[in-house]
Amino acid sequence: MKKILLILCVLLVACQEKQEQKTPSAPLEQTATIEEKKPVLDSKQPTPQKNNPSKKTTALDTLLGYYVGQFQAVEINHDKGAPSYSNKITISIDEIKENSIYGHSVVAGGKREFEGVIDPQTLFAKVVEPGDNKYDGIFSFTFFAETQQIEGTWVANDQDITVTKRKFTLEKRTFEYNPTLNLAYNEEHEYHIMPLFTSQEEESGETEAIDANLLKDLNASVQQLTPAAIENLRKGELAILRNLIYARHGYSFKNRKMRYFFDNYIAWYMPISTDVREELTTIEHNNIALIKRYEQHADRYYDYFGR
Amino acid sequence: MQQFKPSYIILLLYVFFCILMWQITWQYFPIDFDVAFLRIKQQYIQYTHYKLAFYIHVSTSFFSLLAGFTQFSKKIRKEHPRVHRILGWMYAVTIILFAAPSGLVIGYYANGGFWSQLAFCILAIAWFWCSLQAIITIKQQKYTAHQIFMIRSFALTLSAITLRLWKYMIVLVWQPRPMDVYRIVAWLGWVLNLVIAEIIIRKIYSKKI
Repeated sequence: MKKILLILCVLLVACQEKQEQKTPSAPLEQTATIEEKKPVLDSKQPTPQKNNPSKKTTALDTLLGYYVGQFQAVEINHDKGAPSYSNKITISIDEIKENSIYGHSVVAGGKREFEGVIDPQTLFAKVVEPGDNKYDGIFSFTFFAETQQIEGTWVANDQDITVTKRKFTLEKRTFEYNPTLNLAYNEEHEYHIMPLFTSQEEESGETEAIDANLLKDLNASVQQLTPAAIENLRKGELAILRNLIYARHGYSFKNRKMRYFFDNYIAWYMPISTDVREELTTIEHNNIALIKRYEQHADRYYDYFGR
Repeated sequence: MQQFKPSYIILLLYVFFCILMWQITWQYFPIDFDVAFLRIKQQYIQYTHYKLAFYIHVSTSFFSLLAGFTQFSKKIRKEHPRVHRILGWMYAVTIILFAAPSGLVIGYYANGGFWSQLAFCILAIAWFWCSLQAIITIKQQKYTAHQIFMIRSFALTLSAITLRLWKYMIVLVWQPRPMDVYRIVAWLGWVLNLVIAEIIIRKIYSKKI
């Protein structure tokens, strides 16, 4: 009997010791699972490695995105009409697969696809637009990865159009809709009056004064505008106030007056779309209706014998 | 050569401006709450009293201009006194019952803020007062006083033309902002007319003395 009791006591003590051993080992197990989790997180992040097996194209994928800058005329046929000397262009590099490059450009109210070849060593690309449009041509440009720029030229297929060659140096930018963006000028160096051309025909001639001081306090994408806020604005200012809505969404202006103003005076503006109607918010819709009303009134009645 | 009398030229000019005023009146009919001037009055057009006042003013005011053709003619007054009396009554009733009261209501909602509103409300009250006094004095057979008040009343009637003329010229020369123009012509359009009327009255009565 005493022996059995002894064995039982020893067993009891041994069990207790085992339990004590278990508790200190539990945290070790937990740290083991934390370490295991790390590689799981990594695999969830989208990596170029998943899509492209070769390491070279992974580096090229950092070149994808929007590049924005001025599309400047170099060769002009003046007898073919009034040229647009400088339009703002966005070149979008959409896909790079080995040596092939695909993308599209948005400029002067138009959006055109292009495709071509890229040399992965020199980062020189030559791409061709479809060719079924009078204004199609060939882009030749080089990527500068350190400065995140592309620089190059464009040559038209049709040598009888007004501008047959253009050059550009574009900066890489991301587009994000920001309703608070507005007219801005450097108070120390710039004058608050901006010119808006009154003619669609050419980038010269009569201009209308746009007072940025007044317009910078109004934002048709953020505030619900009232008649009192806009009734003393001139027709050009009302037009700018309204078109700023479209500009914030990245609309590319077909209207030459607006295009010249936004391309040259609004630094944050980048054209990325030719139709932004579906992007407009309720506030924007309401303000567009209100501003249009005052624009039409100014157009018809400002210099008229009547009220 | 009667054709080159200055009064003939003034008459022709007056006909021209009356035609323009008729065209302005005409654009509001058939009734559409979203036409011309009303396009920037949409925040008020929902009020029944505004709609009523606006249409009364627009449909009756023009007729007060017509008296300008006959009432200042000595010939008509002497040789056809009934014409003078009938057209005079039409003028007075148009203003006292319709054009001035409705003008006061819509003046309260004038473009350009407080100073414009004040100008148009004072104009409406002065127009009403002078026209009323002109009727009271003629009923009392006080011909001099009647003439004086009618000169004032008509000077204010003419503000319909002078206000729009000033607006046209100021815009042509200076191109100010729309409401800034409005605030200027709200006063310029009639105050100057009254000043000239007072000068004319004094001239007439200094001659008589």
